[in-house]
Amino acid sequence: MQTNNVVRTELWSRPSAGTRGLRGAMLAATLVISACASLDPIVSEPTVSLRDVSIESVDVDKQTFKLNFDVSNPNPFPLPINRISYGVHLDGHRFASGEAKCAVIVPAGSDGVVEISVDLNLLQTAPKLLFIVRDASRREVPYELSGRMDLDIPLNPRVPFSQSGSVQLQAFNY
Amino acid sequence: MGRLLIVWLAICCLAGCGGPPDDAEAQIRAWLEAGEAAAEDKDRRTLIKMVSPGYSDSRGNDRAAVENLLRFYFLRQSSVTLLTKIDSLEVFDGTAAEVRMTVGMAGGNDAPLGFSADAYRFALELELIDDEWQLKSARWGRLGEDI
Repeated sequence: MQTNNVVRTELWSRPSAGTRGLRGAMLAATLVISACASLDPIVSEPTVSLRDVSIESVDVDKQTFKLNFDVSNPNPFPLPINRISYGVHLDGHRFASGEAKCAVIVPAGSDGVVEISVDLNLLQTAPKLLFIVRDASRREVPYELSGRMDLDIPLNPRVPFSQSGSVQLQAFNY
Repeated sequence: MGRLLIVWLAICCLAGCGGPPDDAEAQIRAWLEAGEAAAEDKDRRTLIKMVSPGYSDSRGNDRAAVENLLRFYFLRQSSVTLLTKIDSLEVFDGTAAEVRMTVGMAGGNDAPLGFSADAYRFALELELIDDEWQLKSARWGRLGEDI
């Protein structure tokens, strides 16, 4: 550890042309390593479930859905979520997937909601899903949810989640 | 000659009144080094003493949350190594300061590769309480992102 301290002092506190290059190389190496490394999470994994799906707008060539995810934080500190990637299957059919930036802080030992807006063209991409979606307005349909979230906590890897359950579509006027 | 004497006296007075201009800056640099050493030693108690009781940040952390976060870090990382670079250091009235710094972090753990690394930029707000600098608030973000 002492050796590290000496090296660190040389690298960071007295920059010269040579050390600036070395510093840059070390920082680049750090970033590359951070992209490849596989590691244990710092945090205990939160639970994510699909609270509801609602329709924001319907058009012939575009339907906008709003997905609300419940995130339960078991940790004794807040979880700042800044990105979430997700895949949702409704009744066994892929309904929506993607990645979205968000800025949600789930309080310590508490719950929060992540809201994502999704534009789909079900008529073109998955007509069968239209019927499933219509059914989902009348009864609960099974869903499967999986994905990963980025937390704004240094050294913490992306946190995976998966959950299944049933959901009923909200405010669907067909 | 008389004019030179007045100028010389004025310089002496200014030098006598001002004190070392970089006292606070030197204290803060020492404070940062102590914090870095404590983090690498996984010395949570020393670190939390450096955090103001009134600490808060935009991510919803208070002092207790910071302590819990540190507990998790040190529990799950077998080793912590930091590379720090102070980008700027400003002292306001000798009682408050803002430090912007870039920190390369590496942690060892029990995962398959057992190693993780990241580079972040931090903006630390410090305040002088009872002659001791304490962390009042902090913002951070991955290198290249806004903080």
